[in-house]
Amino acid sequence: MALLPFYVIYAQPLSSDDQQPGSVTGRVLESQIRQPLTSIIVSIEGRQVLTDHEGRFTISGLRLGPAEIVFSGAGFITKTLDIEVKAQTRLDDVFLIADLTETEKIPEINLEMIDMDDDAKAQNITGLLHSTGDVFLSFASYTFGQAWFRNRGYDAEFTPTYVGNSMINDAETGRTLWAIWGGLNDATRNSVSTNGLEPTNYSFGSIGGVSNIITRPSRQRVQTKFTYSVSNRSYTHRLMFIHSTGLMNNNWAVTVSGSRRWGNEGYIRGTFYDAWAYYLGLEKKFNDKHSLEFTAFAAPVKRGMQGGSVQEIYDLLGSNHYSPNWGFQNGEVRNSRVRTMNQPVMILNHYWKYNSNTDITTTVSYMFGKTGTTALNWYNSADPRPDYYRNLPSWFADTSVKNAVAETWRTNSAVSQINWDALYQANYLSLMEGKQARYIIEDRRNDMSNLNLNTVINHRVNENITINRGVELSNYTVSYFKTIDDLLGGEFWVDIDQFAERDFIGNDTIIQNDLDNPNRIVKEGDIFGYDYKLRQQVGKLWLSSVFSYRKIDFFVAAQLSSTTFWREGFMRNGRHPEKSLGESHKYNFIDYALKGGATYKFTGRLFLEGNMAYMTQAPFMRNAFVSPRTRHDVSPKLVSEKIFSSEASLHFRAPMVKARLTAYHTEFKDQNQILSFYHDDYRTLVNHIMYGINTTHQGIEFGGEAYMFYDLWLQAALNIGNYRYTNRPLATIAFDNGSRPDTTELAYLKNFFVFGTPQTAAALGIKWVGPGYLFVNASVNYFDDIYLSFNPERRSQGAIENLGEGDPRIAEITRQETLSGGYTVDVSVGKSFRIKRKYFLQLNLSANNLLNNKKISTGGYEQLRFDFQEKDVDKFPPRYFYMIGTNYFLNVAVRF
Amino acid sequence: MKDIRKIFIGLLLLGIATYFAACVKGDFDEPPVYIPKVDFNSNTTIAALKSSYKSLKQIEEDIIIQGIVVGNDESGNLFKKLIIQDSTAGIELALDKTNLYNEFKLGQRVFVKCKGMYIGDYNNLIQLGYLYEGSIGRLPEVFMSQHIFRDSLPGKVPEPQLTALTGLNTFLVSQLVKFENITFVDPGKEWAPQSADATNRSIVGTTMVVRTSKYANFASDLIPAGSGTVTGILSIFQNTYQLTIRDTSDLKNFGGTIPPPPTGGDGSKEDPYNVAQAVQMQNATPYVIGFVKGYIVGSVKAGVTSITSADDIDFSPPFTSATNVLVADEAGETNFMNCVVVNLPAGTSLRGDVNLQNNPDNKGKWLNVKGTLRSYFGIAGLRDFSGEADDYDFEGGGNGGGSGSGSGTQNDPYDVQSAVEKQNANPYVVGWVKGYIVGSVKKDITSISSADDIHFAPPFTSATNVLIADDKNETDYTKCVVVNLPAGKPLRSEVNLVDHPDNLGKWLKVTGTLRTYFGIAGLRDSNGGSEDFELEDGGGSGGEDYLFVEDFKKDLGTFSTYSVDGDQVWEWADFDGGCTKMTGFVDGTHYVNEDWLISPQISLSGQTGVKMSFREAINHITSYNDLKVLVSTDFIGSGNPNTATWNEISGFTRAAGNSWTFFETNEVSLAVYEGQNIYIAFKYTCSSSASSTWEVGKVMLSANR
Repeated sequence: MALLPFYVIYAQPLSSDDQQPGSVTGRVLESQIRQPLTSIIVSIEGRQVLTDHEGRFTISGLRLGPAEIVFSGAGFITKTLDIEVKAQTRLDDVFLIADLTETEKIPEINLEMIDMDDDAKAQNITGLLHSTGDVFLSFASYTFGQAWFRNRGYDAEFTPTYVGNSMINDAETGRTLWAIWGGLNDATRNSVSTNGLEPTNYSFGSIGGVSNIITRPSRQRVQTKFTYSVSNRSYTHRLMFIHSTGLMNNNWAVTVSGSRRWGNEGYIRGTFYDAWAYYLGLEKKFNDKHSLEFTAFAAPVKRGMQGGSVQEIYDLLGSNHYSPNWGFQNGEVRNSRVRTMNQPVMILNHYWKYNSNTDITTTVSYMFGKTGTTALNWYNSADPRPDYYRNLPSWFADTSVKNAVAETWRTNSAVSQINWDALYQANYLSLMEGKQARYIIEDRRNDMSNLNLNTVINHRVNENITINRGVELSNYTVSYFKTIDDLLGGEFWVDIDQFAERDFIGNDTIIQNDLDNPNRIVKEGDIFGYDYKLRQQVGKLWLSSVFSYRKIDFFVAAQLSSTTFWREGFMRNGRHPEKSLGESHKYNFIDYALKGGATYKFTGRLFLEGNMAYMTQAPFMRNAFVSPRTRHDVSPKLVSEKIFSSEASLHFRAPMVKARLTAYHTEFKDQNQILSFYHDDYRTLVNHIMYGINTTHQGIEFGGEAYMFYDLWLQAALNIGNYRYTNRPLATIAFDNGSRPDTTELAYLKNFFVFGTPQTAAALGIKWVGPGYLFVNASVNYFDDIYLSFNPERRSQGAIENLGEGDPRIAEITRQETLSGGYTVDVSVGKSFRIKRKYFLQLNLSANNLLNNKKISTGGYEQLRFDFQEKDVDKFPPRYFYMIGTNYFLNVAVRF
Repeated sequence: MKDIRKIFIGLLLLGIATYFAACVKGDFDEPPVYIPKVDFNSNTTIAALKSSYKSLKQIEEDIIIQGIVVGNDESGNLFKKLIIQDSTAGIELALDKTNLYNEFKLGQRVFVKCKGMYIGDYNNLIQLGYLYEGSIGRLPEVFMSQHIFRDSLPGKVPEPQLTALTGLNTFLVSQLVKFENITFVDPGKEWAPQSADATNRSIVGTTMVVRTSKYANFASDLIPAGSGTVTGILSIFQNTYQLTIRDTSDLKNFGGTIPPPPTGGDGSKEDPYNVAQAVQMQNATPYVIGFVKGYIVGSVKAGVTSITSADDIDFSPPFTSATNVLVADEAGETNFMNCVVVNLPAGTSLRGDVNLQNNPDNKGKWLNVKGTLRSYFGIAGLRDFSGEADDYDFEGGGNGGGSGSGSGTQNDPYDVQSAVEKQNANPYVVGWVKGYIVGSVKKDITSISSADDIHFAPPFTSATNVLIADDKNETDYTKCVVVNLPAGKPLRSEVNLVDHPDNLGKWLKVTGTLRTYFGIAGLRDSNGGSEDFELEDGGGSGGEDYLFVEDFKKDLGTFSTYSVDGDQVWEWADFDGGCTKMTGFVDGTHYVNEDWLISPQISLSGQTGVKMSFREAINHITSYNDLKVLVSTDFIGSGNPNTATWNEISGFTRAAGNSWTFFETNEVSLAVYEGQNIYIAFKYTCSSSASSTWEVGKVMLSANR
């Protein structure tokens, strides 16, 4: 019998006691070459199965009578058929058409390309990999992504992503690490996703949905394919190759893939791109019960990052895409912020069909490698960043000076960008006196390693009840340290903290970064500054049960988890000699989560779905340690976050019309947030710790499509959100070097908007499949209600102290800035040619933002400093990011 | 096999494609060393430019000067300025840019195109810069590239000009100068405490000061003692020359040892500064005003305006000046560095009473006088005497200047003679008096008019008072003080002679107000608590001869505090009859702290059997290691105690750590410190995760009598 993927709920033939006698079997093939298609999702009345390696599927336990069957899969146009379910329905072969306009839906443009180190929460677009054919999710994950849309305003941590049944999110922050499989688009295309609170059978999930990328070679589409792409987004060229054998006669399946992406400059000046990727998947089917899969992949990448700047400079230079990160060295563009990442992943999966009703899947995965981001550092020297506020025209009071500075900004790239040559000269002159380098490039490393062990048991009790349960164990370590990347012509660096040196004149102890090796001379490659590990061990036990009946489906699920994390320091820091070296206290959290929901089927076409969840979640390490670079200290209030979430959806599915309308309401309580930043006013690093933050996210989602005429479909997607802070959390400001005492204050944030995502996003599009495999997709998109990330210090009593009641500055200081939204137009066109019967040439071009609208804000942040004396909000203006203008992606692929 | 071939071909194609496409830039070339070169020449000397200066103006002529950088901002002592110098003169360039030294090293040749710049003066210091609010200001950075040009790589710095202190002139201003045999007035002090933006330090024998910014990286270094060679940039402020050292390498050949800080009083009349303190506190910002007590050792010779040697001073008759006297801690002092010159203003009783010209016998007498501690005759001085008779005392004269001793503190109580002399002062003198109990007033006597009114021997009939005197056998009531023993208080119950006839002949130390009682000298208004008196062999705050007691009765007393870390500090509290308290726990949060509670210097000179005990309460204890009792012999009496060596005093049985109940420790011997001067410290530390509360009550040091 066919080897079925473990996560398929209903793939078995009917057993004798089935109440519902209907069953459907069939085969799914690719339309042009009639090749069987594997991992296509087939669903009837909400029940789903995946096709096997021969393209076959069986769904049983169905009610007799008319029904709708839907076939969907990544890269294919979703197909819907009306059928009559009989006791044993055998369908004709179903042919799916490859949708060439969809080939780039793995996020390529995302915020990882942007230098967000200074920001509060580096944001990420929604991680949903859609393959379910849901119209809203299809728009949300790609079209809205260019505006940094986050589904329901949730942080990425609430949308976990699994690869090969193993969770791949960064344990420190909860974010999905998209870059680790970048460039392996074909090999990671197959995935299953759920939205919101819907249950899955491979994990408990979260509140924002969960995705699993299917790595199994026997489930990969059988093909050999070369792809070449040209783009002006983050890279210029891409070459990809994949070969997948499918399950061969010798019971082996192999997938090999590799790619290279490169470019000297992306859309943003100074952003080069240099990436490789390789992928190997091996699967051996031992017998009908046991299969073993080994998959290894890596995507080493090195790229220059974009930096945001202030509106004053955007306006002065006439571009919203100015990046201060780069400058000319010997006439060549050099970026100071280069991210290098190589985090290989190895996955071992054991698939065990215990009996006809029980599947056991066991996964071991290991990630290791290194990640680093370079940055300038300097010692007793002028800030080399061109847009440092004292270098801006607005800093100068005198009009003639202001104008002269503005003129040099416009005309002299040594002023408007990093002046590398000047940095070298300063180092040379210093070296002539035998002194240390004044400017260096340091590489801030955060090397992750993660060992995961998962076991999932899927058991079908009877035709109506399925029980899934699992154990997830993970052991995560991230090593933080920095090394000297480039001495820029200098010969050495002394490992002391220059800010402490300035704050504690004459104190030779406190200035040491490594007290046990005082005044250490460091050279290129040496570790300096800080060196510590964050470690986290998580254990999860989960259970879910799905009940399915003629009129109603419902589920309940529960999870119990334990999280332990701690810090281990390898340097005794001079500012905190007693609490920087060795292991910190181990913080343990026991959390639980419960969810449940029901779907009522009015008819085969109209469902009402309602789900609810309550969960507690341990704080992420990123929001727990106040300043892990220097010490063990944690936030004053370290408790699990509490989350209550509910959603209600109305689904309508008909051959000509498909729609979903969802209302959602989620409350977060006791969130933590830690911001660390260099405070130019105090001239030292400070940590801003907010705790007990409550937010509420509510809104409605709509997605739908309708058939018009001549194979033309009209599509629409809409999210109207209202995501707000609902209380006044406490904030503690801690000076990193202890030069001033901590202060705690109330942050007046009630009713502030959650930032970093458009709260309103809408799209209206058409989809057309013309003759001769010609595809056209076009959409008009609209983004609005985008809010600037705010500096909580400005919403404290201290900020408006001494201002009289009704002073207009109070509103100016405390209000939250609304950013500009707007319209964009995206178009993609694809065409497929068959050559000599055997070869297929696929062409597709997608062009985004055809209106070349460069004024849509994708976010930004207020500087975390405020002019307490003059109360001048313009003194330290915010930094903004803008959507890039018209950009394209041209793809040529040969497949055989 | 077909698959293997496909994979192979695929990888090969990918490899080939990549080979041709491997065009992403790798490492960057290092730029070569840039050697700046100007293609024009200077046409004016700095001297010519400066001598043409009359008042602030914009330079309209094509003036180009050149010079070598002799001063920059590397140490932080100069800020936003460069000093350049040619063979004729030097000038200050005021430039609105920080970290100039990265570009303009010492020895860098610089050309300045002056046209368009402004020349002006700041309190007589000529600068080249730009206009700022109607005065001379800094040249904005954006204009620097049009005016300031480097030429070639940094070379040799010109030799500083060797100059005599007497040879200062405006021509030397903004040049690198060198002085030999310089002695600083304040050796051992920081160059520039962080309490002021900049600090002027005096040099013996000149009005020129060394001015140092608090931002200088050597600001907290100590001024060297002895004499040596000093290099720096000469500057001027109005009519005062100032020297700016570039960093401490400008100080050479100083070999003196920094004197240990003096111990002494707090500047009050009762506890005046000694002379060593007065020397140390010269010219502080703000000036220190207080009493200084020392022996009169001489006066400045008539006609001398600045003391540069011992020859300028009359240490023995004949005394030629009446305007001043020198006082010192030693009556035989002849080193003027250990003296303070006291100005005796004309027309005051101070001059009339004290000056040596008319009162040569005053040499060797002590003088206690109030004034401002600022330089006089180029050395340490005390000036600005108010003319009030209350503001000075001297041996055998002045305002009530008697021959009694003591300063009225618990550690240095008045003797009875002194207490008699201080009766009924305005305001009343309140203080400690120590004397031997010689008797009590007879019952029913209201006013003493003869010795018959007093019992000098048993039986005693009144418990309300005792008489004390400096002599155990005193029977002259005019040499006695009647001490009131308030009803119901330990002072009465433990001291009165009716119940304790044995107390006759014992010493009593007691605090109160010195005012008439029974018509003779009295000590009254004592609270009468056990902490208000000490009695030989028991009673009061101990039955032993306490060498040192601090009971924190109403404040931190003689102890001082120092916060190394954290907002919270040692504070007084009224538990246990007065104590001092420290905790890092505030409003539910633990704050990191390191706080010291430090005794005054305690002299164990001539003491034997010294033991220490103290009272304490500890709650929420973290570790006794966070609550240490320490002793130091090299602490300087102020500033960060971590700069001194401290040894833990171990052996105390400590309070349990979980209650608010006070506990008196056992006595621990300090015998190893006998003969030395010590400080005792209570060091409290805590973290942000936990903190204890530590309350320290009475601290006691006893010694063999």
